[in-house]
Amino acid sequence: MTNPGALRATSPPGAVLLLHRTGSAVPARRRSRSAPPISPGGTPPIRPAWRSRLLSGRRTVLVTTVCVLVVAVVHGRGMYTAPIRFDDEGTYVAQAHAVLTQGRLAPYTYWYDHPPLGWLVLAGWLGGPGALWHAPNLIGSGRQLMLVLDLVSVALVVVLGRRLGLGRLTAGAAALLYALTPLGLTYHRMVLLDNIATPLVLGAFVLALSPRRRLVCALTSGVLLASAVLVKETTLLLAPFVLWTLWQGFGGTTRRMSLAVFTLGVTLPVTLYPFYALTNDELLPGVGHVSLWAGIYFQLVGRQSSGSVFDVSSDAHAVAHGWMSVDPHLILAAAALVLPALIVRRLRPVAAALLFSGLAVLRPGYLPVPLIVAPMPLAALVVAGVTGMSVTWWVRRVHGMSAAGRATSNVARRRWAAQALILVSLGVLGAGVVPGVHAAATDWFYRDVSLMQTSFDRPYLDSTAWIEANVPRTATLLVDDVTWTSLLEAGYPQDRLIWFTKPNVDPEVDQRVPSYRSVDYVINSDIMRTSRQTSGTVRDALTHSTAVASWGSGSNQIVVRKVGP
Amino acid sequence: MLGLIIDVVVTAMAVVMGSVAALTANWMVYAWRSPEGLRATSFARGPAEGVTPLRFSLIVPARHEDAVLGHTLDTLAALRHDDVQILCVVGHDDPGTTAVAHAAQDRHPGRVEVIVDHSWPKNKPTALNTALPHCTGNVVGVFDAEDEVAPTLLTAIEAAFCHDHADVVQGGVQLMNIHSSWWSLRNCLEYYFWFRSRLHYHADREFIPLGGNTVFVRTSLLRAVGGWDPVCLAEDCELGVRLSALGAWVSVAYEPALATREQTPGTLTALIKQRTRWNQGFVQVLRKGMWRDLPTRRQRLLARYTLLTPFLQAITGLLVPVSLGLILFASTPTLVTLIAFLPLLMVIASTVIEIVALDDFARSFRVQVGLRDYVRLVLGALPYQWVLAAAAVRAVWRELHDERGWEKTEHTNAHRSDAAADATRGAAR
Repeated sequence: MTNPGALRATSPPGAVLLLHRTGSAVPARRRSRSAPPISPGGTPPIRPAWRSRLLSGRRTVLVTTVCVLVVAVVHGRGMYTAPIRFDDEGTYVAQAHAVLTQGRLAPYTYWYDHPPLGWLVLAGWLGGPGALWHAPNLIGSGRQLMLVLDLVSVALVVVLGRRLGLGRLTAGAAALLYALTPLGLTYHRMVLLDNIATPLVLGAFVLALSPRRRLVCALTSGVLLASAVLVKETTLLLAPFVLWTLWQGFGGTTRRMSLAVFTLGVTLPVTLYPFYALTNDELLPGVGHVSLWAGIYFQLVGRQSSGSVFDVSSDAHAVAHGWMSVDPHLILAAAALVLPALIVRRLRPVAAALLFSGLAVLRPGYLPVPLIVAPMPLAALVVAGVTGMSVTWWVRRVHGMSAAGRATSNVARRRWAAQALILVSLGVLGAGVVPGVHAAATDWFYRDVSLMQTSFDRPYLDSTAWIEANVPRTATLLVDDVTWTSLLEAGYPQDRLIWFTKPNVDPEVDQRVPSYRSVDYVINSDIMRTSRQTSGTVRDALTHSTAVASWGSGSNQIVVRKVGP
Repeated sequence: MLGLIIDVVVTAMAVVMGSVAALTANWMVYAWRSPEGLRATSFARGPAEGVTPLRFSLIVPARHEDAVLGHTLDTLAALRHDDVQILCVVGHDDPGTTAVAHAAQDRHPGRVEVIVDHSWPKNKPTALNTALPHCTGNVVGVFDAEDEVAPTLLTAIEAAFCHDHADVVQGGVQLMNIHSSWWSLRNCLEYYFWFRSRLHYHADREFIPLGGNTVFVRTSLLRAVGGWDPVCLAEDCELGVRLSALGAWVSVAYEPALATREQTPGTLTALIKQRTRWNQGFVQVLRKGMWRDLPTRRQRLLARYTLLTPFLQAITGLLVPVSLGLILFASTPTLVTLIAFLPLLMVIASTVIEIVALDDFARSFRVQVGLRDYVRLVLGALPYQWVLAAAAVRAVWRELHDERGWEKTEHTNAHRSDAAADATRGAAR
């Protein structure tokens, strides 16, 4: 065999170089810089060529595409009118609007309720691509962004599922579970910070499982997680689980450097938030100004506790009951399968994160309604993952038994065992799983169709139209966050539209509305009726006013009340 | 108006400083970019069978090195390789070193040869060029008089030449005396990042400033390009740039056990003098312009950036206090303040990476590292930056005043154990 080194040794390299310089001969490319050397441990090469990677990934791409298309239709149809617009949506859209039109972080004093990255992104959408896509109202424009983000999340659930060891179809099923549960369809349509954080968190998980364990993936994973935290601070609770995933995924020689770089990626961007507060002298509480400290204190401790989930009369119970009434199936399935999922090594961090989120619901303290959004993709992955793995295990077992039966002389006994297993399994399926799945599927189908066809938002649309026609632009109106955005769009001046949560709280507002007498109309919605943040001025305005028009009924009822003397 | 100017200046400074720091940090961690990448930096390349045997000519230029030279020549003579020629170049005006060299020649007849260099003025490239015609090997290697060379290095180098079909192989060099002073720790770590990580980036981009020792070049190639540049103060870097521009294939391989061990300069003044020489050398290489022959734009940009790095670092080192002062005392808008905060974040990032690397260094070189060292590492960051900045300023000043003399670094045996040093002295006598 000819040794190329021996050949080269006979010809002076200088000569080769000189020929190369004159362009008449190019030296044959020698060792490729990136070619992996023979690994000392005999581990198989981790990376196939990108071409074969692409080919092997083609069926995953197909599954992803199908999922994205299905979700695009189901999510997109009726997304402006169902569910009814929610107060947080109004808040975030109004804040994004303030960023765009006034260059401030909120139409009122920004009080560090949440880090601002979420509505900065929303502002970017409203001012950029969102401006080119017609929507019936500002919140509708925000809901378009939610559609886009949901589709990204769906694709990321498939990829994450694959990287967690799920089969292609199982990963696709997880994505559909995530997006098509009525709980998902309801909350993913809403303009919530949690929905902006979801694809970032999923991206962080996906990159923490980088198959080539690239340092840049660890860094990006950290930065994505940091961005998610800057969108919704509660995401920080998921950080340990992403770190755990990374620790699992980045075994080998570069683990410590990867963990360090990940940690830097998380912490450094997040420090920008307190630094922002510091530059505004708003880090620590003081007289006459808001502060980051007070904002965090309010979110963690200051908010009135919702009580225990197990106390039927508590707010927490009402919130949890609300979730369960929309979709008990996914929640119960996740609760049943989260412990088995802990057995599977690769699913363990995700299952633990889900378990942790579940425990967070059970703890006493304030329980926000959108808290259900963050655990949903984890629940879908756990349910689909455990189910898929059980089915695979069962098929292999039955197959293995009959194969073993053929191989030994004890054919009859083996075959009998296999048949018994099949029968028992069929019994379990027939008795429990099939009716359960059938009930869930039927339930989901009708709820999803209803969310695609019914206009739950009708009372808001009608009341806004009536106000535009009957209330002069010079009137001062006490409104909830949703009507605020609608009337702002309709041309009512911003300084005469008062968020009902701000009187007696924001000094800036109290100058304009010192008492209920400065208010002309109260637009009373369920948000206002159930809120705990109503102040003296609002209560006075409600008692000193009479209903002049009303739409909807029950929790969807909206009443326009004219304030009298 | 003044406010606007301050805002623009602060923002521009922050962006430049942040980018320089980010780029540096990126190169610091290049070797760890993936487990596969880290493996590719090692000597493990292929089977040991079938490697073409090479004859090595190792040149050891020595000037006023009688304290350390004897031991070094003994170690080199004891290298586990059959076909080695060791050429020790001493000055005709340096009888002490010459005596030590001759003693070594007597101890290792046929292995060590002494060449007396009569040229003037004396410097390292001239000494190397004097030895080049005497080289009978097909590969020339360079070592310094104080180097502690791994016994099995040459076998690994031979394999690297064969498997990579390389024209040049650069091995690792590591300063060891981290406990000597506050700055020696950072100096050692600089070497660690440079040979462990950064040089591999340069090799992969096919533009590389070579190191001053543990560098091996095919003799025929070295003769074809006329050896070293006798007037360049950074002859190693110059050779690397010249060979890169000619399209030579440079292989870099690193393994802690095979790294050549050295010591930092003895005093801070010596460090500044050494840095001044390197920086001046970099400027000379830049002005010589061989790098313009590099085939791609990206390589030329990398060359320009690399050769100017000491000066960029000097500027950023001096700008950090200015920037901090402006943030604290000038009332800039929030966004500008946030941007001005970015370089500080990059400094934190670099420090964390350095901490991880120090831990890695301690493990791979079996050096004791304690809390004290980590504290020194963190607290020494800015002062060390200023020391380097001083050297950069000095280099510019000397270059402008046409002072291009060779300021040599003195060596003791700080990187060796005391027993070894005594043995050297004994051998020298």
